[in-house]
Amino acid sequence: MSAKVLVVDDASFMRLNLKNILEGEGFEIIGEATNGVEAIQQYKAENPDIVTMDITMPEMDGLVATEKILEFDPNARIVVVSAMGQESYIKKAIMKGAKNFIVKPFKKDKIIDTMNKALQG
Amino acid sequence: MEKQHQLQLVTFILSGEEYGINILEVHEIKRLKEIGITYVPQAPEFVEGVMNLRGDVIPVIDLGKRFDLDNHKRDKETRIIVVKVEEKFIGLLVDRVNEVLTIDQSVIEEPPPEITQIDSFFISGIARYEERLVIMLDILNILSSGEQPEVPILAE
Amino acid sequence: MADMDFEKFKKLFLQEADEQLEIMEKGVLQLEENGEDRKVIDEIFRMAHSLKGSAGSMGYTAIASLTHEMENVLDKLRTGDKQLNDEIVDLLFISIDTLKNLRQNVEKGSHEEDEGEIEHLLFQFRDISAASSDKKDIAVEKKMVLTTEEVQLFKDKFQEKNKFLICFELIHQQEMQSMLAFLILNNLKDEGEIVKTLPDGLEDVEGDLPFFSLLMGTEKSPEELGAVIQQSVEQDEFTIYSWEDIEQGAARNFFQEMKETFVRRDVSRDSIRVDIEKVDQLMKLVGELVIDKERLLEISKNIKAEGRDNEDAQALLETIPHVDFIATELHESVMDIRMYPVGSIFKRFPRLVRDISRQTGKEVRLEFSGEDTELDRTILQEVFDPLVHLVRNAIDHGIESPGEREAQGKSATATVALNAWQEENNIVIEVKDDGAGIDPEKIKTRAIQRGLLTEKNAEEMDRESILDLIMEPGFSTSETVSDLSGRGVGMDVVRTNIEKLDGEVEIASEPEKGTSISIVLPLTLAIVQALMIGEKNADYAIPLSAIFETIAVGENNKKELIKTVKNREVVIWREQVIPLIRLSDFFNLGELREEGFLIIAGVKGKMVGIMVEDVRGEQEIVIKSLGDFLGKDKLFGEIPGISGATIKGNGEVALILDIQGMLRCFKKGGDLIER
Repeated sequence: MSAKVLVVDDASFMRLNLKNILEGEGFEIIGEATNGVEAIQQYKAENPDIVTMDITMPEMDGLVATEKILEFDPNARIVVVSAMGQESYIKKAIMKGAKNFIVKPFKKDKIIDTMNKALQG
Repeated sequence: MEKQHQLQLVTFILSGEEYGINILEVHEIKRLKEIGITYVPQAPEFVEGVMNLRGDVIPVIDLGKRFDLDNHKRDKETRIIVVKVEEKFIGLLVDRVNEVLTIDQSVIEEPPPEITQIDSFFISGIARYEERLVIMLDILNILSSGEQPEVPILAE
Repeated sequence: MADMDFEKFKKLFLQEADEQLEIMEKGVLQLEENGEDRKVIDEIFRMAHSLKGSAGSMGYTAIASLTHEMENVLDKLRTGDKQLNDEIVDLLFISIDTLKNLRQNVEKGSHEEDEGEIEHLLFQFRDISAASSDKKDIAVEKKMVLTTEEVQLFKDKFQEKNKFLICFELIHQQEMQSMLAFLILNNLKDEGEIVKTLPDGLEDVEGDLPFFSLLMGTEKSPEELGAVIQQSVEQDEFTIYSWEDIEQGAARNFFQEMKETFVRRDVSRDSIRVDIEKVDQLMKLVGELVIDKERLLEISKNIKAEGRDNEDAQALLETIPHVDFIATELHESVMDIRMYPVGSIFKRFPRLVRDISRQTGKEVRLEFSGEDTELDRTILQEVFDPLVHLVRNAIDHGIESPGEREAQGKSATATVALNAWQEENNIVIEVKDDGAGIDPEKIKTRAIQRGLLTEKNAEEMDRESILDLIMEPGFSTSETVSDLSGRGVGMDVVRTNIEKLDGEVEIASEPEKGTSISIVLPLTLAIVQALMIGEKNADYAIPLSAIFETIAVGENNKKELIKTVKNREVVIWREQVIPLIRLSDFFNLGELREEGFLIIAGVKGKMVGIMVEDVRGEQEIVIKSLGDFLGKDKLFGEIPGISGATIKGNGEVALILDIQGMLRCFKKGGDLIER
C-alpha cells in the first residue's frame, strides 16, 4: 500500500520534480497545493499520510501552514522543503512539529529516505 | 616604404558634414533596426536611450542632438557606432556611416574655431583628405555630462 | 629559476602567505578571547611552519627567521612546556603584523632590508623560548565532563529512571548535520530530560557536526529511544550507553575519536583559487541563461494556452521546468562564489576595536549582526576601509570616556554595533554607537561659518539633511575636531568612496543617545523577482519585495481610493493616506488616464501608490547596473525613480523603478520636490 502524499510548493516545476521522484517509490501523490491556504484545505479534504511543505510561498507560508495543520491534526506528518541557507526556518518548522526536512537541490535517495523515516512513528 | 604615423578613421555623416572617429575606439556598427532602443525618461535631450549590447546595458547618444545640429532624420541609413571609452561602451547615433579612411598624421590640423557647426570642444582636429574635410571627434569630451562640458564624466 | 617561473612562484607564495597569515591572526584572536586551546595553537603552529618553509625556499630570510622563532614558542605551548600569557599573545599579534609588512615588502620587491626590522622581535621570542619551562600543562580534552556534584545530582534525580549517554556519529550525512542534531534534540525532548550535551548549546551549532552526544534521563527504554532517533538517522549512526556502561568507560573510544576530529565552526574545506574575471564571465553567462529561461517559460505558457498537443509540445513542457530549475540552481551556485558574507570583514574588527580603545582610553564592546548577509566580493573589499574609518570615528570621537558616561548614567562600557541586512535591492551595513551623538545645532553653526549654508537655508533644512552636511568637503578641519565630536574628518572621503560603488551614506543621530551611520550598497549582480508593468508602450520593472498590493482601478472600480488633498493626489489604503504618483506624469510621458493599475509599494515603512497603465506579470529579472552613466555628474545625471535596468526575453532593455528614489521626492512634507 502506497503512502499518500500531499505536495505543497508554489513552483509547478518543483511539484513536478518531487512527484517524479516519489511516484514509483511507494508513494502516491493524492494532492497538490500552491500555498499555505490551499495546503490546509487539501489536507482536510484528502487526509494524506505525509505532506511535503515548501517554506517560502505566497498567501501563507509553509511555517504557518505547518502550525495550522498540526493544530487540527497533531499527528500530521510534515516534511519541510527548503533551500540551502534557510537553517533558521527549518529549525522553526521543527519546533512547530515538522517531522523532518529536505533540502534543495533534490537528491532522490535522500528524499526517499527522509520520507520513509518520517512515516515511521 | 615606412608606415609612419598613420591612423585609421571611421567616417560618418551628421547633418551633411563628415566626421571621423579613430578606429581604435570603434567597437562595432549596428543598424538602428537591429536593436531596440529603450527610452529613458528624464534623461538629457541628447540621450536617445539605452540598448542591450551582448548582455550589458549601454547608453545611446544622438550625436546630432549632442552637437545641437538640425536635421535629425532616421532612415535605413541610420547607424549606431559603438565606441569603447575607458573600458565602457557607448552607442553613437549617426545619419550614415561612410568608410574607413587611412590618413597620415601630417594631414591633421588644429581645428580653427569657426569652421564647423559644432562646438570646438568636441573636436580633436581636422583632417584633409582629397577634397574632404573630416572633423575628428574627441570622444571623451562628447561623453561629458550635458550641463558642464568642462567637467569630465563617466565614473572614474 | 627562470624569471618567469620565479614570478609565478612569488605570486603563489603571496597568495598562500595571505591565507596563512589570516588563519594565524584569527587563531591568536581566539586564544586571546578564549584562552589556551590546544587545537588552535596547533593550527597557528602549522601555518607558521608552512610559511617558514615557503619563505625559506624563496629566499625571503626575514620572514623565515621570524616564523622560525614563532614556531619554537608555539611548539612549547603545544607540548605544555610553556603556558600562554598576555605577553606571548601580544608578541604573536605584533609578529603577525610585522609579517604582513614583510609580505608587502616582498610584493614591492623591497624586502632585502628587512632583517634589521625584525631583530628586536627575534630577540623577544628567543627570550621566551629560553626561559625555563613552566609546569607541565594538561592538554584540554574533548570529553563530556561532569563535576562530582553534577554526577550526584544526575544520579539522584533519575534514581528510579533510566540514564543514558547517547553518542552520535553522522557517517551517512555530510550536509546539514547540525540541523539533524537539532531535529534529534527536538524529538528526544519529548522522551525525557536532556541534562547535558556535547558540544554545549547543541541547538545553536551551525554547519558541520559529525560527532555529538547527549546525556539524558528518561522513563523510556533504549529501544523506544532508538525508534525515535531512527526517524532522523540510521541505526549505525548512534549508540546508546547505559549508566553502567558509562561507569565502566564504554564510551571512551567515542570521545577519543571525537577529540581527534575537532569540530570547528569554520571547517577548512578543499578550495581552489580562481581568477575573478573568470567568475565575472560565469556570472554574465548565467545571467543570460536566466533571461532565456524566462523566455522559455513564456513560450511554454503560450503552448499550454493554445492547447498544442503534439509530442514535441509535450516534451517541451516537461523539459522547460527542469531547465528553469537548473538555471536557478546554477545562478545560486555562481552567486555563492562571488558573494561573500559580510562577516568576513566584520571579523577583522575585534582586533581593531581593541587597539583603538586602548589608544583612546575608552571601553568599548563590539557587537555584530547579519554576518551571513552576502555582498559581492569586490565591493566587500572596497567597503572595508570606509567601515574602519567609521568605527574609528565612532570610538575616537563619538564615544565618551568611561567617567563621562557614568556621569551621564550610561554604562562605562560603550557598545559599537556592526549590523548588516538586505533591503529591497540593497545591502545595508550600519555602524551604530551609543555615544554622544551629533548635535544638529552645532553642525548648522559650523556649516554657516564655513560658508556651506546660508542662515535662511538652515531654517528650512530637515534633520537628515543637516547631518548630511558633515560629509561635505570643507566641513571639518582638524581644528574643529574636538568641537563637534570630530565627526566629519574624512567623512567626505568616505562618502566619495561609497558613491564610487554606487552606494549611499545615511546618517542618523540623537545627541547624548548615539549615532548610526549606514552604508547602503546596491546588489548589482542580483536576480530578483519583479512585477513588470507597462506605461506608454514601454515596460518597467518593480522589485516584488517592495510591492504590497496591486489594485485594478477603473471608471466603475475603486476610483474612490484616489482623493485629492491640498492639491495633491493621495491614495486611501488600509486606513493610511499615502502619496500617489502617476507614472506617466512622473516621467513626463504624456496624458493621464482614469483607468489603470494602482501599485501600492513601500520601503522601510514609507509607502507610495503608483498608477500605471498596465500590469504584465511577475518574472525573475537580472539586474543590470547603469552605474557607469546614471548618477550625479554622470552622462545621464540623476534620474530619481530609476535604479537600474534589465533585459527582457526579446532582448530589449526595460528600466527598473526605484521606489526609494520616488519616495525621496516626497521627503519634505509630502510635496513633490522640483526635480
